Amino acid sequence: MVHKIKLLILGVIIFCLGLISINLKGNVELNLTKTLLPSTVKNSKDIITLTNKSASVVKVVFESDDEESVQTLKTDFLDRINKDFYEVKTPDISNLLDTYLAHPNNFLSPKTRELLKSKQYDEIYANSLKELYNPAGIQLTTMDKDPYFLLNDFLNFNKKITDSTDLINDKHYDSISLYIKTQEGLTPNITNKEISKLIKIKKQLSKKESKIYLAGTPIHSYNTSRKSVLSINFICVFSTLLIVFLTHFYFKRTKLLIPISLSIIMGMLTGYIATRLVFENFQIITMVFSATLIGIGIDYSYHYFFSQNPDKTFVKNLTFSLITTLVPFILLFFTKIDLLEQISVFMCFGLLGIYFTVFVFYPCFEIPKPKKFIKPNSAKIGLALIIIFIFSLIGYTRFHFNDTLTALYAPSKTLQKSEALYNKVSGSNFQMTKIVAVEGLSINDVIEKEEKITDLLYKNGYDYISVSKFIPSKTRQRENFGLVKDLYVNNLDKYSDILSQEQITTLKQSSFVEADFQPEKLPHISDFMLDKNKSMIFVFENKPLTKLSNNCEIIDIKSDIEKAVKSYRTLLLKMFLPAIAILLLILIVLYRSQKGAKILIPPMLALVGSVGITSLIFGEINIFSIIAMYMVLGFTMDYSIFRANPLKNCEDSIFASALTTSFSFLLLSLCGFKLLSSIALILFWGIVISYLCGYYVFKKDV
Amino acid sequence: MKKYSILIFSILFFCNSVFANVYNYPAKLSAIVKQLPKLESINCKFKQEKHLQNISKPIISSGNFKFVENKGVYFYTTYPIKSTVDYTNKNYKQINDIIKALASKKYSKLEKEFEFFYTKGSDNWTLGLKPKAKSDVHNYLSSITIEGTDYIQKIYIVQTNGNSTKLWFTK
Repeated sequence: MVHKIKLLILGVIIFCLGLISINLKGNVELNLTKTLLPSTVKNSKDIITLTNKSASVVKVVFESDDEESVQTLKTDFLDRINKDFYEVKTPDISNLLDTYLAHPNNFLSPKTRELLKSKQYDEIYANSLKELYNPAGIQLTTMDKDPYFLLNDFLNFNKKITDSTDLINDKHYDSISLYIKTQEGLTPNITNKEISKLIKIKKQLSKKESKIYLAGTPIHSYNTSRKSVLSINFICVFSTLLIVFLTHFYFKRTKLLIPISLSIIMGMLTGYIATRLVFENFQIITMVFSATLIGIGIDYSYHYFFSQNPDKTFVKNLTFSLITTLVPFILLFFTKIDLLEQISVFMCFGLLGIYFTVFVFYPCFEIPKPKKFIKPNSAKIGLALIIIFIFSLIGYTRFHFNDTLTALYAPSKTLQKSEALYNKVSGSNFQMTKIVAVEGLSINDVIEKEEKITDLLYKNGYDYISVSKFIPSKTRQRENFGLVKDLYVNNLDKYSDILSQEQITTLKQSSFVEADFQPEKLPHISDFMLDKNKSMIFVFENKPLTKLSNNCEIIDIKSDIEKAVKSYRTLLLKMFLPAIAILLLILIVLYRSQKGAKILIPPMLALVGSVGITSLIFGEINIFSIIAMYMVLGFTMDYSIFRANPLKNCEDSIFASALTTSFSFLLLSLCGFKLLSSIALILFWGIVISYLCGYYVFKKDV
Repeated sequence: MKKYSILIFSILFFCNSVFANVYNYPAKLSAIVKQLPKLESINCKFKQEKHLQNISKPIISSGNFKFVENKGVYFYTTYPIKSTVDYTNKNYKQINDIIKALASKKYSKLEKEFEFFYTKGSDNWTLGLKPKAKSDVHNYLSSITIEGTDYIQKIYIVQTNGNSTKLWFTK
């Protein structure tokens, strides 16, 4: 009766926790860049804005045997897409061109400006004659408005740095960009739904001779989440089957899956609720790490089931296991890194939730006597360990840290090909290395500040693209006009054999009229804006950018993210020794003997071995591998503790725990998503090595 | 005098009509392609006459012309100034691409930008190109008319701003 009431109470607690978790307010943070770049990092807000911009663009390439078919394919595609979700921005330069043509003397290339400032009128005259007599040269204005063809010169300077192409190996191409219209549209559920429709349209329209390629961040995200979901479903099914099999094999009773499930649910709910209450924004990557609680739930459950009548020794073992597992996670809380603090809170409260469930509610379940099965073979275990450590040593020859985001994500070859094709066809095939962010009080103020910076960039030989390149400020237009007027006054008479005297006089006496572009209304202006009054200058040179001005910030996305990741990695590595020292101290205090130190040996060997093997397989270690190392330290203490003070059926209990946990991580390490597989590989090898090493370290005790 | 004027007027009308006529004959690229010769590398002389809007005097120049297959076009102007224009470089890529496309018969590259017109005489042919409304060049180019035999002999470019250029090539 008491047991039934207890189980009822457990059910009510889980139900209440479930309700609380559903109704919790706050944001779930899905942006990996935002996760890795805390607000304390300089330019983090701008980098996040840039990644959000990238996340809202789908790139499309159309391919066929002839131009007509390409255009038909493009039209069919555009007819079928959801225009409430996507918009196609085509650069319409006609308004800009009309403004340029109406005020041809307001626009100068930097080279011509310098020539005019230094009054090198003869050189400008000679250049204009070359343009005048240029066969098949297209003069955009008439000579009575722009006798020196300065507008041609300005527009030539502003041409794209690389050119698009629509013919590659006799195949014809066209490309467009689809912009996701609203912020709500960037929610993963909504985006993925629309992307899957887009992919369906692509498949319907693609034939043998006509193809459509999709690229861009939303496509990458869709592919990754689809692959991850498939992998995780696959892992869940097979891991569950293994647990069902093992439970039935040992206990002939699959009803024991109920308490296992309840402890896992309890752990996940307590961890999740605690994290949501402490932190305003919940990082989705926390959930990835929290999945390891499933392993803990199974481990604690098996330890309880195999011990049959949990006595003081069992309570001591499980409590010590809890304490030693908590220590590394508690330490993560003091890193002042948001993601690590969240993992810490989730895991600590999750572990407590599982522990509480096992102690308070497991006595309510009838546990049958387990089979004795495992008979470890010393020679085979020894041989396995030797082989593992040989490979691990080889792995250390490839060991290096990779702090780039690419360490966590590698696109498929198909997607890489689509990206490269889009870049070639659209003309975006350049290496943008840095962004200079310029802030002002208004858009014209921003443009004026940009001009001071771009003058310096031009002087130092940098290629760049910016708003001010196309839309000079009012001040700059007035200066330009003044320089051109000086040219007319001092040099225009040389054109007296072509221009009439009246035309010459009119030009010399012309007055400045400002060209008002209304930049905030121009399409594509948003491509250059971080904020309402903050613009971006895209720089294309790989030389270091020296300090340009006090009114700008230099953003090197790749470098800024790498620096942030490297600083986390360094901090985590520095904390390892203190973590081990604290664990050693706690173990010596708890066990009051050398046994405490002995318990640490298998986890330490597990760390060394798992890093070596991971280096061998991946060739590198990343930030998430290092976080996984803390988990290896925490989780594998469990096996050592239960071997140090062995209970009934100890070896089977540890074998079943290690097998189920390592099997799940093995499957996870095979999934295509590098972030998940890098965590899982460390955990898999850590558990296997700790299990095997523990056998030898505690051979006499078991 | 009156008869002389009528004669001059007729000749001028006829000359304009030669170019104007081709735009009465829209043609599919697939039909034109078979009839046009493949243009090979050539060295010859050129003469240019440019008429600019609001300028009474035509701009005349001449010099040497070189077309290199798969590379592009070079103009070496010798009169009235000495200058070299190399259409293979970035600044003239659009024009160079049109010329290369014509020469190598990869006309479908032009399909995106132009509508085609074509007439054929006994020895010569006339090809007309008009930018499509959505093309990049539509804002500043009205038409390009090309006349030739086994090589291009005349090009007539008309711009939207009233400027026009005639180019003659002689071997």
